[in-house]
Amino acid sequence: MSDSAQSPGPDMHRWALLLVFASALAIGVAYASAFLPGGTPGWAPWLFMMGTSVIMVAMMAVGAARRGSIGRLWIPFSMVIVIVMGGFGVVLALPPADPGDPNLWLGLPPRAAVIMYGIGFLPYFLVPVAYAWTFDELTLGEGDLERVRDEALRARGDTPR
Amino acid sequence: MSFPGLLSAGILSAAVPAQVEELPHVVEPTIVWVAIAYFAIVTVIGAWATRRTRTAGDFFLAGKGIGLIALSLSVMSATLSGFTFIGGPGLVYSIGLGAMFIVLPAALTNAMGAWALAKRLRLMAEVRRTITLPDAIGARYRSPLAQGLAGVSILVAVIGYMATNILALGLVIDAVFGIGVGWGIWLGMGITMAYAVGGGIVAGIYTDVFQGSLMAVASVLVFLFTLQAGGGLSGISETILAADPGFLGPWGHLTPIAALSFFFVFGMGSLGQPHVIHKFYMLRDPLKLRWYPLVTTFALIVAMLLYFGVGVAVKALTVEGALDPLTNPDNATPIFLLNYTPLILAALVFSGVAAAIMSTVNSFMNIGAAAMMHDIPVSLGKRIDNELLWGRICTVVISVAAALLAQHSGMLVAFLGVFGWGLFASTLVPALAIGLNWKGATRAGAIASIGTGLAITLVFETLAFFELYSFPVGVTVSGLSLVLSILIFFGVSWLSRETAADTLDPDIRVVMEA
Repeated sequence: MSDSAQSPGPDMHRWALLLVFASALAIGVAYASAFLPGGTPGWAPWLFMMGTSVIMVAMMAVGAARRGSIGRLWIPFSMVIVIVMGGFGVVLALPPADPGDPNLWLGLPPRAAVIMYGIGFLPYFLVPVAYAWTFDELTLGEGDLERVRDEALRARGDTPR
Repeated sequence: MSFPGLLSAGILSAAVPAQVEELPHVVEPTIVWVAIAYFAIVTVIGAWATRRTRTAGDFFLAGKGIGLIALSLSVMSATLSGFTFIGGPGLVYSIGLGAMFIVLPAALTNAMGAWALAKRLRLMAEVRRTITLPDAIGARYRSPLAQGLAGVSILVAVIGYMATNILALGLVIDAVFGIGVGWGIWLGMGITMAYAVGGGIVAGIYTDVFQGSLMAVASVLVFLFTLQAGGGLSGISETILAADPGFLGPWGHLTPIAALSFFFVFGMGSLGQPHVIHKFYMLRDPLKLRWYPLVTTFALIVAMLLYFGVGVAVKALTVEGALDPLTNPDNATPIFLLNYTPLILAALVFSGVAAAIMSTVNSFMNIGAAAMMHDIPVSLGKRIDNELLWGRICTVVISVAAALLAQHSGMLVAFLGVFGWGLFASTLVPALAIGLNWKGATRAGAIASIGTGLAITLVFETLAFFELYSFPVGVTVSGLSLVLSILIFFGVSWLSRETAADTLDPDIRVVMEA
């Protein structure tokens, strides 16, 4: 699906696009399962959880990839998938809290705490930080901007600097 | 006059219970004077912005001259709307933790938007004279039809969103001034139009900076008062768990699929919200994007403290018997503010709610006017000569139409507001967010996905509204239309893959490879 494989190693842009497609398909199947007689099957939330966790990170990778590579960004992206998918998995697997003896984590029942602090808050310390940290090298540097501006001049019929 | 789910509309699907009553009147001299001061400041900013607005580029893109903080705060303000302060806490009160899945992806969405869209759109503005998002779609696929379809989708969703927000603004102004909802609609619309028509998006951006700063401060202060009133977060949790354990379950009172569907729609769907991503064009220095996700996400998380805090605190207070159970969940914030915070803070939040709605309406006015005056004519092969003048005229036309719709269309306004988010998401995410990052995407794929999003959203939301058909529990029209439009986009692009190279101009290729 991609024509950007120009660097050695796996073409991460192509893989990320495939993951976006596969995740959308998984979410579509999970939605479709709700139409089955007898209601939503037990595997549907798991499939949906995997699809929705992966599609957002894959979309980040699609945007971040340059010449088929995402460089060191594979580390924060992998960590976010583990946190979000792992968090939802833990929540689906853990038993409900005992109302008679509430064991609270930072003021919330364990499964609620995983949702709020783990999935809702922890990625803040990973992806926006990774974006800022790698910006010059992997997203946009002075040289990239010059090239785009030169191309703009060329497109208007002017001479690039 | 009552409207279901008014302050939630435009955000939520039929999976969410509707609210059916007006807000309580809070006419107090302090609240009234703070509101008057607030509107006066906004008007002054509008007058200043009007003097700075001399070209269509100023009117629609703030002259591509805004800084990082202005971008971040205006994105935050445009994202939040009044829903975060009124409808959101009411929703938490109603369905518990499930309501948090609407805001839960916030830690991811701004970084995702920065990688997938911010750089591409900002660089697009370097190589082309793009003033709208459909402009970018038209340039990407060399397709006036795709641009026109995207413009129509935006216009349809904008009018619905605006009507809903204006009616919500009328309710808030009526609650503060006690002048009736009808007058509230026209007073709120008049003030918003005064600065939007003159100052365009320049006025919108700088009123957003003022409003966003105040929202963030007010949210933190209100959150501290919720902890105090409920005996800390542990105290709130213990109280609620004893009476309603499901409320603090991971999905609240939603099914897992419904909660996860919120996460998907509000996560991926954020890539298609034009009133937010349109602002990427406006950043003065593209290299400042480095800090955009960090700053914007922090501002959003801070502003959402109120959303969560008020919802759970009011639930705990009603369980304890300190407050009567709410007949209208939208009253959670007003009732909490009037009973548990100093009047001056309540006054700031009430003004902040009005301001948040106004900032969203202003953004919609601007992109709606651009779709009407620019994208649709371009798709028909026509160009408007004086875009500044016609931009102002179209802003007035759209605003008056939306206000009349808000005042006279009864239940229809709630219906129009319901599908805005989903329509934006399903029509723009594939063609724009994926298409700007995939050279294999084709014109046919873009047109098919926009058409799919438009058709599925309009048909199934209409059927659901008139109770002719409803999806199973957990399945939302917005989620289904988004996922189908993504799959159609991939499928049709793959089938027409031999045409992919034909749709890419050299300068657009450079933007996509940067």
